[in-house]
Amino acid sequence: MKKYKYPFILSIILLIAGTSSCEKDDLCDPSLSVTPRLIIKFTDIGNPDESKTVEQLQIREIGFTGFAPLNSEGSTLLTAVDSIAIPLRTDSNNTSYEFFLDDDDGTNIDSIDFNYNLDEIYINRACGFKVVYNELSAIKLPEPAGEEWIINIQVVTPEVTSNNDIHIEIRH
Amino acid sequence: MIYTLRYVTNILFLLIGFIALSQTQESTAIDSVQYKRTYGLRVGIDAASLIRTGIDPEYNGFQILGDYRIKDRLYIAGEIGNENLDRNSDRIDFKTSGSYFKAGIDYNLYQNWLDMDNMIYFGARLGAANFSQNMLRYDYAQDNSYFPVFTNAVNREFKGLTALWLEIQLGIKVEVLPNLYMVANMQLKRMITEKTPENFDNLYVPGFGKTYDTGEIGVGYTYGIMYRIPFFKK
Repeated sequence: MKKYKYPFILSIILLIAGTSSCEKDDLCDPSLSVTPRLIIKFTDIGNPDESKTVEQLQIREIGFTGFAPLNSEGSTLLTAVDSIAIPLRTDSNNTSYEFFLDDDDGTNIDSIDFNYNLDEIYINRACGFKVVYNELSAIKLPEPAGEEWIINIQVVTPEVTSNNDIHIEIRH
Repeated sequence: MIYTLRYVTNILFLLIGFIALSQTQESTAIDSVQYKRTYGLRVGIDAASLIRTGIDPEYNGFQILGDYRIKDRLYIAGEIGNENLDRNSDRIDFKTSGSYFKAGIDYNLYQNWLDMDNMIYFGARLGAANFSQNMLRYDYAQDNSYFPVFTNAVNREFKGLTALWLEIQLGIKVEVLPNLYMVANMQLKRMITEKTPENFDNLYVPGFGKTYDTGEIGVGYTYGIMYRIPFFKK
C-alpha cells in the first residue's frame, strides 16, 4: 500500500490540474453549428440542372437600408455568383428580401417573401440556443410581366437546419 | 482572482500534506507503545461556501460536514448542503437552487506520531442532488448581425431535476485544539446520471458544481472547522 501512495496522490493532482485547465467552455465557437442561413442556388431557367451565375447581386430586407451578407465572409455585393447564404429573421416567421440584379440594362429589383416556422434548439452554455426553420416556402411578389428577372422559385429543402444543404433554387 | 486564490490555497494544503507524509516514513517500525484513539462523531461547517456567500452576490449556500470513526484509519463520512446560484453569462442567464447529500468513507493515509490524531485522507463519496433551474434569458447564436441578435427574456422553470455522481476527495483534518479540527479538501467528481431539462442542460448542480460542455467531470473544494463529540477511547 505504502509504495503506491505517492504515484496515487500525484495522479489525482494531475487529473485535477488537467481538468481545470481546459475551460474552453465559455467561448462560443462560431464554426460550431449556430443558426443556419438560407442557401440559395441560381440555375438556368432553360436548363434547371445547370447553375447560372448572376452578374452582380445585392440583397436587402424590404424597409432596410443596409445590404445583407451573402456569404460567410460578410460580403454584401457579389459578382458572377451562383449561390448565396443569407440570414433569416429569428424574431418573425417571415423575411422579405429585395434581390438587386445589376447588369448592362441597369438595376432590376425582384422581391421574394420567405415564410417558415421557427424552432429553437439548445447548443451549449457558451453558444446558447440556435434557431432552425421548418416548412419553408418562398413566394415571389407580383410584378408586371417582362420586368422580372426571377422566373421561378423552387423550395429544394424545406427544413433549414444546416448550411450544407441547398434550400432554395432560383431560376432566371 | 478568487479562482486563482482558491487553487493556490489548495495546492498549499497539499504541499503541507506532502511534507508531513515524508516525515513519517522513518519512524513507523520503531514505535512499540500503543496510544488510544478517540472515537466519536465529528461534525462541522464548511467555511468555503459561507465565505463565498459573503463575497459572491450571485451565490449563497451552506454545507455541514460529518464523519464517524469505525476503525483506527477508517471513517464513515458525508456532507449535506444547499446551494443557490444566480448566474449571468454571455448567452444565458440562469438560476439553480437545490439540496444535496454525499455519503461514503474517509481513509487516513497518515501515520500519526504519539497520541496525535490528524488525517491526510483519501475519501470516496456517492453524491445526490435534487434541484431546480430557471432560465431567465437566452440569445440565439448567429454568425452575422444583419438582423439584431434576438434576446429572449423568459422565466422558464425546470423542476424536479436530479443528479447522481461519484466523487473522490483528497484532504487533511488537523487537530488544532483538543477535539477541534481544521479541514480542507479537494474534490474530483464524475457524473453517473442526471435528469436534464428538455432542450436545455444542467449548467450547475448543487454539490457537484459547475458542469462542463466538454465532459462529465466536476471539481470542488471545501475548507472548514469540525468538532468531535468524543464517545469512547480504544
